[in-house]
Amino acid sequence: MTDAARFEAFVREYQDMVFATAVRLLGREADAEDVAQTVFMRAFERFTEIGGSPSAAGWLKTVTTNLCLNHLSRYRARWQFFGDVDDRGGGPALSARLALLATAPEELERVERQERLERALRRLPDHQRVPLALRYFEEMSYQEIAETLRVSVAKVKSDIHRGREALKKELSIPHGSG
Amino acid sequence: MDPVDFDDPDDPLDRELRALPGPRAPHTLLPRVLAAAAVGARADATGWFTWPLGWRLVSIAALAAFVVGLSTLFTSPPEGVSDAARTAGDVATVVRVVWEVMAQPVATYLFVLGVSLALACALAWAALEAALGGASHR
Repeated sequence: MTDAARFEAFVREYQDMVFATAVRLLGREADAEDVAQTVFMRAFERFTEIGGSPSAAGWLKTVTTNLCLNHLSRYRARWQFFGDVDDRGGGPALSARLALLATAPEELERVERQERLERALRRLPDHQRVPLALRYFEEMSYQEIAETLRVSVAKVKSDIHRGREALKKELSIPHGSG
Repeated sequence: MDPVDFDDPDDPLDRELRALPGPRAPHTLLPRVLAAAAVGARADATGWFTWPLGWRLVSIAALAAFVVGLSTLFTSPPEGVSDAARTAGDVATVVRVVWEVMAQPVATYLFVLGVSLALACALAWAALEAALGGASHR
């Protein structure tokens, strides 16, 4: 297998993981795609070390998280002042929606609920979505999140709490449960 | 229990969040990455060692000729070059005198002023960044 073919296989293997991490931290698919491309270009530069390494997934997640946080601190604050014209509505592609029509009603309901949760998650403000994503999808402790975001543990907990309340409201889960 | 410690495996939201499938990468990502990697690979492949052998030999010969010419120039300079060197020396003396008489007395003040302005700009920029960045993290 040539180097180019090995790199293509590498990107195919990890693209969903990198993109999922990025989109949940950034909340915007376009930004997440840009960051994912940058992550893979970093991997390409060090492909001889990373290509076959068992720690490749961990390395990719760390680089993705760092790049997303840099991206948020550099750009997001400015965009917020000029209106956020984005694709947060997201949701699956038309083909996926058509495929859903053929599924059982319970399955349909479950998938729709997941879509609502995903959309609600992306609509959260950065300071709530980022710690939530790090907690639930990157399995970080409160202490690790606080160190990563350079804020206090109390603020991390408070932001996650508020984010959860917003998600519960969106999903019509009674407040106070959990 | 701390009201904001909410790691409860039975909590419906926790369950749903942890069970949420990861979004799939868009179909455009792979071609974008591969195209960017191809450009990167081409950029990496423009070093001297990737040149054809003939071009490398020519470049070595050109470099050798340049070094020999330069050393000849310094060891036994032609008449015209000596004159040019003398003229350059005279110009340097005039520049030095002008510097010492006119510019040097105010140079320190100008330097301090420049540094102060740069520092003020940096502080203003940092304050602006903090104000805008803080808005997204509070």
